[in-house]
Amino acid sequence: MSQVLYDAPGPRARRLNHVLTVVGIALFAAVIGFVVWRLNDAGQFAPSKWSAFAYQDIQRALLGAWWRTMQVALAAIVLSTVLGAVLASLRLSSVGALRWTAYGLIQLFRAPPVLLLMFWFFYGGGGGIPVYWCVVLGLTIYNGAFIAEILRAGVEALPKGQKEAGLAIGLTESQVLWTIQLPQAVRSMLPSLVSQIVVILKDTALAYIIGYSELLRWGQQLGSQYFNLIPAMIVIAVVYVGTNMVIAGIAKVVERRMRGRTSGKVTIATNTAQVGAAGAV
Amino acid sequence: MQVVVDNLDVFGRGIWGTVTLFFWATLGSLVLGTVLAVFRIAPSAALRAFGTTYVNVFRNTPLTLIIVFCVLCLPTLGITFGVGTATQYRLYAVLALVAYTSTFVCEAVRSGINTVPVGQAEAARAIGLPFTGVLRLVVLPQAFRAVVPPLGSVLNALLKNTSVASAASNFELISGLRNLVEQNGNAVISVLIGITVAYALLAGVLFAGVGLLERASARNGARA
Repeated sequence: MSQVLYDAPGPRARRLNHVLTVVGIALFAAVIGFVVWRLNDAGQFAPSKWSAFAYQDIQRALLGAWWRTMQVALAAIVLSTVLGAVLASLRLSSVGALRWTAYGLIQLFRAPPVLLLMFWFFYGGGGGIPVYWCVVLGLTIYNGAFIAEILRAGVEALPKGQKEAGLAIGLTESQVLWTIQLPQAVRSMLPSLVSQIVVILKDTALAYIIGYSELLRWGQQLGSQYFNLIPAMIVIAVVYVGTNMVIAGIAKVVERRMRGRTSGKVTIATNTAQVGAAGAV
Repeated sequence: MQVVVDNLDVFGRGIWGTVTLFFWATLGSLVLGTVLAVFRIAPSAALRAFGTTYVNVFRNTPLTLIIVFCVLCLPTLGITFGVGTATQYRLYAVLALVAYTSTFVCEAVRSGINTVPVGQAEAARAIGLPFTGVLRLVVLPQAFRAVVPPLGSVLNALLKNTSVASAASNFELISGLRNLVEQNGNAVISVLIGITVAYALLAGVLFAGVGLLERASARNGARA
């Protein structure tokens, strides 16, 4: 509840709140009820639609498909972090030409849809680049640009004294950046970085469109084989949401352990987190 | 670049398809997103839980999955609109884009309201303004100013996300790309550049629009 909108409730407001609670529960029940009714009407609760998931072969195949999705995601996460760090350091360089080149690249990489970037590798490579790499490279250059901007914002939010102290003890500019500024920027920007990782994981589903056999493609194939498309899609959605929530949970633990180990203003990170998360598919 | 000039009609149809999807999805997700934001800051725990659950589920599901679900599964569930196939696919795509984008709109609106200092509302209540007065005169004008920039990036993402609708038999820029590449195997790079420029132009128009809105809301704030 927002303190901005509501004062401490008096008797009338409390009554109103009770009414709203009833309305809310009714709304909840209505939505769930509608979904269940439609699913039931279409015969989607028949045991035959769900029994496929009890077979060990299919469970193993599901795990395999999940792993193929994770392979794309992990490669793209590692590569885009590297690209992001490099672009950010160029963007913060004292050489004007490097700064402007990096700026141009960042704008160029994040302007078109990720899907189009994948097609650049897919069609532009004349079919010579394996689909796996088209997806990974597309994700890498798109998200690398976003990560670069997150890191840059983190570095710029640090107190100036951090850099000045580093330079004063005789470190070069790039040493200051890599040993003092970036590690602190990563810590203060952790929420934004994690939401970018979630974005990458979700975007792996785009591989479905250019024909890489990942989780979604596997689910569609299983669904048309066993005539249980809807259950298959529901299972896959649960796997995606579950994986994302595990990542978010791990991030929360890491964040708690790292709290206070930066001199940057951690508060600004939450705002860019939303912007970053919305910045992609 | 001859291939782009020769196929301006395909580009036109592609741009029109992207713009149509963007327009309806923007309209829908602004409405649904605001409603969700109202739920998420409501004084009742049940409404808040409803909003939070919706946002967490749809934000963590890939958009591609949502679109594929709409196209493949909604007809089985008997959720059809009794219109032609092409319109049906477009409605499904808009539905999916709205379901997904509204979660981000909701978060932008909610964080905008949370940027308003509590003292502002307390002062407004202290001078005797009723609830609607507090909202209309004090909280919302300030919140709106804080909402515009993040909303701009949500819409920017939505514009790019319309590309996923190509998986749902919608004709937009990506579908145009695939058509053109199939017919012009020798001019692939030109086609790719053409489509990229088309997206950049659309993003430019959107960027200018958001900029205007930002300046307008800043002016309003200064006056108030």
